[in-house]
Amino acid sequence: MPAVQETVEQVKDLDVDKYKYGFSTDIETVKAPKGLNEDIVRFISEKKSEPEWMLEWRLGAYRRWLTMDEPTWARVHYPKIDFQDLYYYAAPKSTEGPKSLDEVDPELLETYAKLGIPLKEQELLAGVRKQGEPSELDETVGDYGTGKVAVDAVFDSVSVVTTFKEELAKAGVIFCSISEALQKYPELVRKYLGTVVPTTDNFYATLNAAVFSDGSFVYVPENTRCPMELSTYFRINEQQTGQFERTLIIADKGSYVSYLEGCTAPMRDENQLHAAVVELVALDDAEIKYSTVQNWYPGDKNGKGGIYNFVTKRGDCRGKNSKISWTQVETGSAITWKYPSCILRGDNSRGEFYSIAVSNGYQQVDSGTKMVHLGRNTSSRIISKGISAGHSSNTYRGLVSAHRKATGARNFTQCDSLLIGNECGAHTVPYIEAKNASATFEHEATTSKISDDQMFYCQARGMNDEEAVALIVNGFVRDVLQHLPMEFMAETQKLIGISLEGSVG
Amino acid sequence: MDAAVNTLTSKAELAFAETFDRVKAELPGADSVHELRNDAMRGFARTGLPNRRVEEWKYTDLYARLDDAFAPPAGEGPKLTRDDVLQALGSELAALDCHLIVLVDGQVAIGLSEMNFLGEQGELSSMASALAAPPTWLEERLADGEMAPQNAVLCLNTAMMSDGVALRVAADVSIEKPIHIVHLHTATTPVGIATRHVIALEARARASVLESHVGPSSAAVQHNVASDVSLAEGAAMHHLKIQQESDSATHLSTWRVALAASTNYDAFQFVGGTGLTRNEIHLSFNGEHARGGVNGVFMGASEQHIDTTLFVDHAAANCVNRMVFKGVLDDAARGVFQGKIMVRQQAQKTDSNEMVQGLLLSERAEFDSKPELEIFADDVLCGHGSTSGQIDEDLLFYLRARGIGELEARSLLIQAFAGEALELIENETIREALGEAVRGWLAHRIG
Repeated sequence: MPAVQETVEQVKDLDVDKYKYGFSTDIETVKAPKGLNEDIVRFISEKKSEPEWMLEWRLGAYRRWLTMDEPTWARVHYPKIDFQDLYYYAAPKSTEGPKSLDEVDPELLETYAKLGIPLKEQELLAGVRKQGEPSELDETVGDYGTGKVAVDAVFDSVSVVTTFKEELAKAGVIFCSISEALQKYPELVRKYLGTVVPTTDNFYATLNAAVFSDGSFVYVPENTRCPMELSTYFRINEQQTGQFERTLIIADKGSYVSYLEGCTAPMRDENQLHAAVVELVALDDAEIKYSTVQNWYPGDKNGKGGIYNFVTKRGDCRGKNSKISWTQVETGSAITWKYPSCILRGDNSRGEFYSIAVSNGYQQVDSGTKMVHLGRNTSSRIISKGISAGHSSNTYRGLVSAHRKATGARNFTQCDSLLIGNECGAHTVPYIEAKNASATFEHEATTSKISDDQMFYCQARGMNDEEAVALIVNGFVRDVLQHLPMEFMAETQKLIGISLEGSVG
Repeated sequence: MDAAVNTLTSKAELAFAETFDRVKAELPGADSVHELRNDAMRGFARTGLPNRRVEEWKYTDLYARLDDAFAPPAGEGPKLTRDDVLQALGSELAALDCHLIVLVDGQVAIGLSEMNFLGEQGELSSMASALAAPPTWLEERLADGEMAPQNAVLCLNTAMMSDGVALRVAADVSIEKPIHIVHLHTATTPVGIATRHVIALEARARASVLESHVGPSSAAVQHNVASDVSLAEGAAMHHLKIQQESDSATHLSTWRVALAASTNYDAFQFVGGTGLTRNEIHLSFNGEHARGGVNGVFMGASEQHIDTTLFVDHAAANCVNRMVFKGVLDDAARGVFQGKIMVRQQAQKTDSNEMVQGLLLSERAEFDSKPELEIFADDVLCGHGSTSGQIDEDLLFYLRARGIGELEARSLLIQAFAGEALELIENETIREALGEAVRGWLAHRIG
């Protein structure tokens, strides 16, 4: 059958082996020696000219980390990580403050070109046009259209270029790298850093606290609506460099900010560790929307290589009527261990979690969320869609809890899993803890496969297997797609298609 | 063993080990059984009592909650008459037309029990006498330690089991009347009792078994009761349990159920009391086209802790499983529900579903639920639902608007809530008896 032939060829073309974003850029980097000890922590802190209290903070975390054990409860399997065999700091040499964009290493720009995602930002980065000018790329499908996106580009560990700063500054929004924030706004950082994810939180978060190299810092002042979507592209580049990002976003009273994070990583044989920490703080009446598209290298078709993604993300709805919304699309990484959570502390606060997790090949995903209801009349909503194919394992692990004082807490959870092929696994592990009688919790989970009827319907209309699967899967995840910013939606639909290629036929 | 005992630290753990050493010579059984007991105790010595760091015991910290372990009752218990037993059961259950088997303080009271109704249609004896010369079917079942090594409660049961019921129903035999196993506790001082039932239904056999735990005793009874059930091809069984014990009682129960092809297993558990309860059910679908249904109602008040933990293992294709549990929690009671459905790779076309609903009547009540799905086959239909909340004010208003008093309206709504699970019981008398138990509980609680 021609359709089958077509599928076979397509699969050949798009083998998981041929990771689209698998390349590495030769840029000279400054590295700290391999391994981890107090001197490395001091080295990182010194490199970044951090204040004394920051060094103490890091050292405290490091000492704490020495006493901790790696968590083993997640449903993921991987060889033990030798934490002494990693580099904890790598900075591109050209980082001595490129004052103008021309000074940016051309190879860096080429990297962005290969990434294929931030085309218009790349124009901006390269100085081809200025903000506000029409772009030739405006017609490009799947690009950012006319939306404004501010990019804080994280290349390996140091922020190289930050754009849109002026416009943001006009609104009073601070958007910079966290090292810069430590120089310019130390009091602000000190007030909030580690208050959502304390240095003692968990093994990877503690490690991150000790050695984090950079990340983004956002502060939105009172009653301000951030004029544009903020965006960071993470990129792991240098061989054997653990990437330890630290992001801190503070939305002051009555403000609103939407933050986008997208990731790709080059192909690599050796497993790479990524242990990021993201902290969000929403004060009274503030809202933070945090969206992630994660598409790191998932390993080859035999499950070799790939990124280990052990991330701690947590939002604190500290003020009344505040809202934090997590949206994530997880298609990459060999291992994902990630639970973006909300602490609903303020009365009437609201937490949301929308997730699409696609696993193929030998990927292992253990992801979910925690909704901790502490305040009165807090509400939360969880929509999780897991799709597993190939030999992958996809686990939703979530906690919804209402504490004694969380009168009127409300949660709705829906976790749906879709299985493609009989070598994969889909698991659901929800914890639902109601300590307050007036808390109303509803949890619903289903697992199913694409029905023959659905496939037949699509095929009868002339679609081949792969198109049909892509269409059905995109329908399956629609509830979540709707919550992605426009900029990500088209890209995500394509990504899901690519991730699932080779899983049928 | 001595070296391993060092891992036991708490008072209760040490008491278990010490009691076993003291009474093991008097426990019934052939040499092979004593070998099993010793193995089981070694297994326990390795694990100790599970604490909340053990995932399956996250919400029920047995290590912390058991502050002591008690010895089996010594000497002859009081002589009970049949009327005493019927009175203890309450009028509804007493009216049940059944084959009655009575265990008093963990020992089968032969004089009160019907042990001969099977005739040539199978075997029925007390576990104590069966263990003296265990037939092959019994030995195989007891030695099936697949999950025993990490299951401390089952290890303790095997080590200490003093009596129970050994029942084998021959192929094609259908027992019309339910077999009612009554567990009565008369002790006035704290005792520890381990009871083991083994029930084997051969091909196409049919039986109904009701286990009731209703006792006049208000002493701190620690009852560890395990039922091993196996259904051969085409067999069908109704398996019910009623548990209403005192606030000072501890009830640790393990049901292990193995289903062969084309079997039909229908279970129901009602818990209307008991200070600390852990009801584990392990249900394995080992043959194709089997059908399982495990349902239940648990009602807790004061500071009762009721834990229902299910493990459903789909190891064969084309099986159907349904589970519905309803929990009503008042005062500072805590309800725990853990339901894990595992579908293995070969178990295609599995249709498995579970639903648990908790109704919290008091500010201090707590309901923790962990319905889990673990799925390795793609062509399946699996789902779970879990809700918790309080009585719907709209429904209450609807009834109040029709002239029904507040308390009565609440009572009606709770009955209806529990009724959704109760109506799944096929036997009308038992369904009525449980309905009465729900009403009795409510009358006692909210008038």
